[in-house]
Amino acid sequence: MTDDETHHPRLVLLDEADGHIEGRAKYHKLLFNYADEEADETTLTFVREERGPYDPGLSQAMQRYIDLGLMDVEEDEEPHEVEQTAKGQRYMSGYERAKMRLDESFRQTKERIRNTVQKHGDKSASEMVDEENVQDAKENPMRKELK
Amino acid sequence: MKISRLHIEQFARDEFPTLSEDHVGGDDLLLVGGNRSGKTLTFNALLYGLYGPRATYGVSPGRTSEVRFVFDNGDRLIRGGSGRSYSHGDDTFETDDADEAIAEFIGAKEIVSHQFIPSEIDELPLATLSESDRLSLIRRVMDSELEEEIEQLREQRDDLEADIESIERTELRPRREELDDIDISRYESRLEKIERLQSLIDSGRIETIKQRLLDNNDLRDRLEELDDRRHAINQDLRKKKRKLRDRRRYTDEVNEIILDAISELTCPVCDQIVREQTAEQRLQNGRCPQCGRDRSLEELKLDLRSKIDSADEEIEGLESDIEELRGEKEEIENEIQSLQDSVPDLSDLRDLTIHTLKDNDYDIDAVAEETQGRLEQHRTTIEELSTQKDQLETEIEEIEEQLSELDDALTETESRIQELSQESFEEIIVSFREQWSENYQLMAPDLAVEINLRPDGTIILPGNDGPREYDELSTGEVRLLNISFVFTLVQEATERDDQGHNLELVAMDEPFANIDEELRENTIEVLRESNIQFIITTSNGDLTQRFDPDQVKSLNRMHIQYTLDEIEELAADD
Repeated sequence: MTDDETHHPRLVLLDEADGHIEGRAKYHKLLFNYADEEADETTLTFVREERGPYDPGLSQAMQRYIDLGLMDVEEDEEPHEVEQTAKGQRYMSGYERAKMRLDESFRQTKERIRNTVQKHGDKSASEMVDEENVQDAKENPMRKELK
Repeated sequence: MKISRLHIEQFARDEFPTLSEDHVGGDDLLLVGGNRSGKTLTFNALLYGLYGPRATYGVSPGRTSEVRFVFDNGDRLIRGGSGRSYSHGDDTFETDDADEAIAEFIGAKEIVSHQFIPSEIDELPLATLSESDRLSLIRRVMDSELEEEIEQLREQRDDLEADIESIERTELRPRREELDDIDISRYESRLEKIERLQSLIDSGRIETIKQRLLDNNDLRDRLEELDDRRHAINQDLRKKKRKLRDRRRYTDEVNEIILDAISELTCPVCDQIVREQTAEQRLQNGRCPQCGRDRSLEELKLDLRSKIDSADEEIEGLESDIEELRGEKEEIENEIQSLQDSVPDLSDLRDLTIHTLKDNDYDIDAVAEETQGRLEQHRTTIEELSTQKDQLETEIEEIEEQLSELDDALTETESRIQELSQESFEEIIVSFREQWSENYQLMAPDLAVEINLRPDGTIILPGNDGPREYDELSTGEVRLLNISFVFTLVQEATERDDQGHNLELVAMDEPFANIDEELRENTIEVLRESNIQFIITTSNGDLTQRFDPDQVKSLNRMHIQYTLDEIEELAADD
């Protein structure tokens, strides 16, 4: 079992980023940085795409969160801002409270994600692409699963 | 087993009068009282005494309540705010052990609770039991081993269905999606281009191409410009395609979208997602598929519906954009081709060549190095993707085989359930139905109709305009049908000593409302002549004539202790 199984790291990340991430590309890169720098073992997987590491499950997960009214994406302007809705905020608040009481390992996941957001949250997607770990990941062949 | 002594104290309300009947002795008991005399509370107190607060019809017993039974075999049962205990012979059982003793010596709650016939029409046993539950209850009473076997098979069927659903959702579906995402042809066509570039490098023709481009600035600039534009179009196409995939999701029905979406969320307590079948049933019943509560999902559904409504238009728009971009790309490629054709030695020039030369500032060594690296990368990628594809295909095949085995097991289990249900219907249900019809006719000779209990559990009575189902019967008929049903059930249970059921008691709360005097008299006669103990509450004083005086207990009106002002004061003190 991975450290963050059933911890919804994608939702926790958006929550830790104060419910606001500037674009899908940044979302992918933040998740990659969490997996690469903080998490020992994560449920998230990444493949090398044109602009570096990419979480192939993020798109579908986001779509489902959007359908449930937990998340919204501003499609009109670039970058497409990803926003946590008020309902999403309420859900995460309840979910996290329950998890904190029932699952000791959740606190660790939350802290790791918080570290990632503190370290990279203010950077743009392009700035993150220029960083060494992303550039190293880009050395891999396209579509290759990154370990 | 019948009730010999009965004691109920402070049940649900402080003003509830203590009811202490020491001389019931297994006989019938008629509790007569007007409005607010505690008849329904007493009825619920009996249920509470046997099976606890959840067995009552929504009555909260209160912390100071106490119900005590002494049975005609000497067993004793006490239940109250301080707990419950059951005494059998020299043994006394407390808490969970007491529950087990009650189930063992009195009977399972699932059977015995149906011996309590409430006054509300909607709460009568035949109204609350589903069609299949009616048959299960009869089978359980008539042949508990058979019902147990069917029940085990049903559990097995439910487990198999859950396994199939879970394997499909968590193992098969993700692998199929992953397989769909593997697009080797994209890399193969790219590899073809890289190999073509490599052959230009190997043959030295790249030098000639480079020279021609450097010699012709206008041509080079235009080719670079077209290449940049093509690159931008490719990026745009990728975005539009992603958006198109997202929008296509909204061609599903609202419920399907919700069901798919909640598969993303696990419960914070058990870490599991809601079973698809459960979620689907909840949605169909107008409840939240995630928590199962009766909540309005209108806002969410409206939002999704508006996305669905606009999806077709958006999809059309995106498809047309994509078409347009493809057209533009084709035009660019044609222009590149015609530019190439116009200059000798450039016929071998391909998009990748222009791009790589430009990116490497027309340095052939750098182009060669990059091309070599790309060749290796793409060959590795294709190899890895092929291995991944083969592996996924093998895994999918194995999972499908496993699912097929589970499907076979499911079909077999279902057919065994059908077989046993059919057998039991012929051997057991028909016999019960005959006894039930007989009892019903005894109670209502003027109605004198035969009850038809169908193999699916539907109840049919004849009528002047054809067969009538349960919900088409008059209130009086419904009451009599329920009384005769429960009466037959207890009769049959009493005849069978080995069915884990020992309570020869039927309790009824105001059972004769809407039943005319003649039918009522007949019914009471049938009940009174039987060996079953009846505890009946009624507001009809005429019934006392049909009981011995020591079998009648009058209940007095409970006085309201507080005025509205006092209630407000008490609330303020709290």
